[in-house]
Amino acid sequence: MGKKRRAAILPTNIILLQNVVRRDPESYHEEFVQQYSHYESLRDIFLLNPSADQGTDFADLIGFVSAVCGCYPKETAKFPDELKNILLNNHRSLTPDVREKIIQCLTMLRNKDIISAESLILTLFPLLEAYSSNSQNASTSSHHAKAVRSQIYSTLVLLLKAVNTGAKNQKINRSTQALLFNMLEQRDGRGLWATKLTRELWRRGIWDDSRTVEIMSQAALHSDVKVSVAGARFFLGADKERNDALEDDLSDDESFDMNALKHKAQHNKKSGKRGKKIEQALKTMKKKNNAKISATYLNFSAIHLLRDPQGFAERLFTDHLTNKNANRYNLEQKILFMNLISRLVGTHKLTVLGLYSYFLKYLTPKQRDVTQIMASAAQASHDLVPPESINSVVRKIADEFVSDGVSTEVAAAGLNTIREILARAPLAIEQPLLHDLVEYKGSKAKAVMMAARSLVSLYREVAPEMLHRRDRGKVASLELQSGEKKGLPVFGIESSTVTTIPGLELLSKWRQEQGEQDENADENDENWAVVLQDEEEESEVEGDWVTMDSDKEYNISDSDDEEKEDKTNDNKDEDDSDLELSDDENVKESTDAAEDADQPAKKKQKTVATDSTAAMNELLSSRILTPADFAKLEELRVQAGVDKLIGKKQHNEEAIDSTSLLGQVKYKQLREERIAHAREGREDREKFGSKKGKRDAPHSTTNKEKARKKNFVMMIHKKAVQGKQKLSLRDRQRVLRAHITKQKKKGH
Amino acid sequence: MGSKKKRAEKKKDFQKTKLRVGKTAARPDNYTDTSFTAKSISLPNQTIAKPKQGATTNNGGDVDLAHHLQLVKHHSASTRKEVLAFIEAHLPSNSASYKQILTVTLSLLTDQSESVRSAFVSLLSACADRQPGFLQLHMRSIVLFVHSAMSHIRGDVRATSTQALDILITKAASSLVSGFLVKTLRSFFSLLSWTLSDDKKAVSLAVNTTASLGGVTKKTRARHLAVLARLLQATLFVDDSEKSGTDWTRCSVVHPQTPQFMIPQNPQAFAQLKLFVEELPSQRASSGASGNGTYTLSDVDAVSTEDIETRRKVIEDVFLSPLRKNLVATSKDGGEVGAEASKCLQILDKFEGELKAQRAEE
Repeated sequence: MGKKRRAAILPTNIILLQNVVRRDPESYHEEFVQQYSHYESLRDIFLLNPSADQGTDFADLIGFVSAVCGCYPKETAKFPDELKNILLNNHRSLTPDVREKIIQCLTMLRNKDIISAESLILTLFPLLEAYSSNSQNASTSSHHAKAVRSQIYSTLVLLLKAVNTGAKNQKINRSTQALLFNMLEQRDGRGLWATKLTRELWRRGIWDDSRTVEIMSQAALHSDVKVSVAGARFFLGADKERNDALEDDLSDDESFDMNALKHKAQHNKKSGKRGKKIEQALKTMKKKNNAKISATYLNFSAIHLLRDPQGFAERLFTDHLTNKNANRYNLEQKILFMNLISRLVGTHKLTVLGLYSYFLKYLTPKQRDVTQIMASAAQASHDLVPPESINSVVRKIADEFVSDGVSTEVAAAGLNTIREILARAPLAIEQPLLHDLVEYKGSKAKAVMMAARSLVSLYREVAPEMLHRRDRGKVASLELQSGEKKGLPVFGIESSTVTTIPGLELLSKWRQEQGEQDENADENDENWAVVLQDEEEESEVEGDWVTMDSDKEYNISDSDDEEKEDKTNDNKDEDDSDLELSDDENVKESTDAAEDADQPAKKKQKTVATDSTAAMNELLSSRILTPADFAKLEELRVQAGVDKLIGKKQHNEEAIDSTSLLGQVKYKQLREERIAHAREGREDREKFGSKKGKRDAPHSTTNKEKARKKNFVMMIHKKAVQGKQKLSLRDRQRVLRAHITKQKKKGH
Repeated sequence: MGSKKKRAEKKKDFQKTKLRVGKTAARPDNYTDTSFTAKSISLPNQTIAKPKQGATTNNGGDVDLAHHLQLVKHHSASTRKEVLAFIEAHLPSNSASYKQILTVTLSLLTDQSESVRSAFVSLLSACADRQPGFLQLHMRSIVLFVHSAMSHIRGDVRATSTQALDILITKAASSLVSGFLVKTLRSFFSLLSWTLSDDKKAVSLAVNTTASLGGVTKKTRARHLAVLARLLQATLFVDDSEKSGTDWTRCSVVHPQTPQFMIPQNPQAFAQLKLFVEELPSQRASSGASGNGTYTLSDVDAVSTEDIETRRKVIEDVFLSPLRKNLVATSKDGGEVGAEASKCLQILDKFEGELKAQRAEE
């Protein structure tokens, strides 16, 4: 057979044609036109009777045309619009395969940039609405609806991800979010897809702004049960999800250890190839850091990005918990809302006074899932709520949970909850009740005893005066005697205002001890080098907000400031003199500030205070604190035990784990567990175990063993046996003794 | 003796349970729950829609074709062919069932097997013979499938596509050319691998699709050309045989143009208005004739070719010169194809001659 020219082979199926057309669109133009007209006639046939089953031809041709669409832009100008129209108008009568194919093709066209992302989103959204699970139309709620939904959903997520790689495409984000808002405005369950989409995009870090959070807050206030629950779940769990996803990504990429590479580079023979390898690794490392943990990626939690937390919390409370139709929700959902509201109240220190009396109804030991309700009650308390409101909760818990008549588990849970509440709002309990509760420290149950003790140690820290003298402990008593403690906290006065850099006096003292040998430490470059910390440490530092009052003046030592000063004083002759001048101002300001701060705490010894402030001023005015200084400061504070006991600070933002409220409960083990436990202890200890049934060396049965196993009936008439009965008491004793000594000699 | 507990249990079986106010009576042990939920309940043996299947013939002596119509989509080609032959042999007298037969069998126009396709063509012509006006009524859907067959990717499907078109031309030429002329001619161009425009890139098909390669034999080409000739004849000249009844031009009592305002005789006379047809909206504004009164290739799709004047104009403006060019080239091939091509050319010559005479008169 002669060779045929490859180009001359006429394509007889559509895949082959697609292949050759893509290679050489010019020469196969007429074939394409023919197939396009075939597509047109099939399309007309389809439109004639959309519901009829035409086989796979139509879907194949759609795929073909959209695959080669880019080669013939002029001929196929109308094609995307036709597809869109078919999908939007006839999606009910399309067969599932064709529908899937059209969506696929539209996505393909989008990827080839033939249609815009907006138009694709506008095409897909109506479908998502039409096929949502509780739409009334029977044709859209068939079993194919689920496949359609998931296809559209994944398409949308991928599309938005693609659009937002690199820089965020705010225009498309905004228009999509507007569509989601519209979906949420309808009062049926369609909004569920808005929440799903938003949650997924939030999880992937594609959307992370306050508009996104606004969508979810709308969803949480939605009248439909599913939607509102999905919204609430988002606020409670989405941030953890996002961080997990991010960590997964990071750990997945971590294919090499940078430190090991550097170390190897130091010792191995230097070669161009190795050097390049290191450079490459460094580059990827930098890229990763830039992309993932860059400044543009703001990792605010959803709750922090809320625009009106007070209004949101109030509406959640009135709409979903106290309203007449609150009984639409079952207990789990109600608990979900309680949890969300209490998180909001705790994080933003909001005032929703009705919440505390609402909790009262549920706080009984028989209540299902009561620990979760208790956890939310604890989360909802903070120091800006009037103590009377929280007091009722504490009293109720004490009455219901902590008494002699209840089980130890219940009492421990009650005490732990009370401790959590009081850690956030120490004033919410009267002294007599506290004394009563503290009495449980002598309980026989370990969990109860530990819970009571933790209560004691909490009050030793915050208000030892409220405890009995005997419970105060050494440190607190000494502090009380010396008058260091400021007395009972008062409602409405913040005790934790920070006016200076905490622990600065420690630093100055340390520097004096060091003899100030490094006078110009701030000019040394090494001290400015920021030590790369682990992520955990960084986040801790981030969490440590410093409270700033607007009506007070602070002196902030900043290099920028000094530069400014330098500029203003440029015309002065000597640097020293102008530094001194500015120093004087600083001293005045800072002493004022310090005095302001000290006013509420009159008991503090004046001399100590002035000493520390003077030292501080001296330090602050003489030099600029370097990162090295701050690191030292942190270390000194730890040494001095400033940050001791119950963590650094009570974080209102932290969620309480309801399981921790129960304390450590040790249930009685099952038999199997006990046996397994014992077995575990016996492993690798054969030497100490019984030797029964084991032989050191293999041998046949000894006479002794035979005698021992001999049938009892055969032995009973023997003299050796019968004689034993007839032995005198004394002889019997002697035999027994001899046996014992023999056994002992054998070593058993 | 059994234990005390066992005795108590046995005794309980024979005790009567007390009925209490406000409580439902306890269910017996052997109670079976027969309730169920369903979206709809159908009782096929009680339906009034369909007569009993038992008899193969109903009152009119017709065969019940429901079963055979299902077999039209059978996987085996020979079965499909036989079913078509059977239907053709037992065409019903009731005109209502013809639509169903057509919708089911129409997709066989693009069937893989040639015998099935030819069986369908004979069925179509049989239907047209039995039911006058049948083709006119279903012209739209049939033409769509014919176009689809003419542009099919498989060469053999394309080759037989003009057989169905031939039937349409013989039996319902007027409704074909008045509604679907432009698209049919366009399909012919791609079928014969001719080019409509003089684009450089439009030469590929003509080069590639020679008879030796694509399996397009000279015979089929000649057949296509014969059909084309008949189509042109029907398009360009008024068929006198179809004229019926009164000659309105001679009439003096009523106005000579009266028939144009009377209710049309043919079925689906207003199909061109597309009142009940779902079609995709087209972006291009249908402009009719462009500025200088001539049609161009781009706007010819939107033109309604209802009357012979428009048809002639469309052919003259758009299709005449490419047709002539390609036909001349084909007629040089000689043989059967060349003869058919020169037949077409004769028709075109006649048309041009008439045109010139008309122009001269004016």
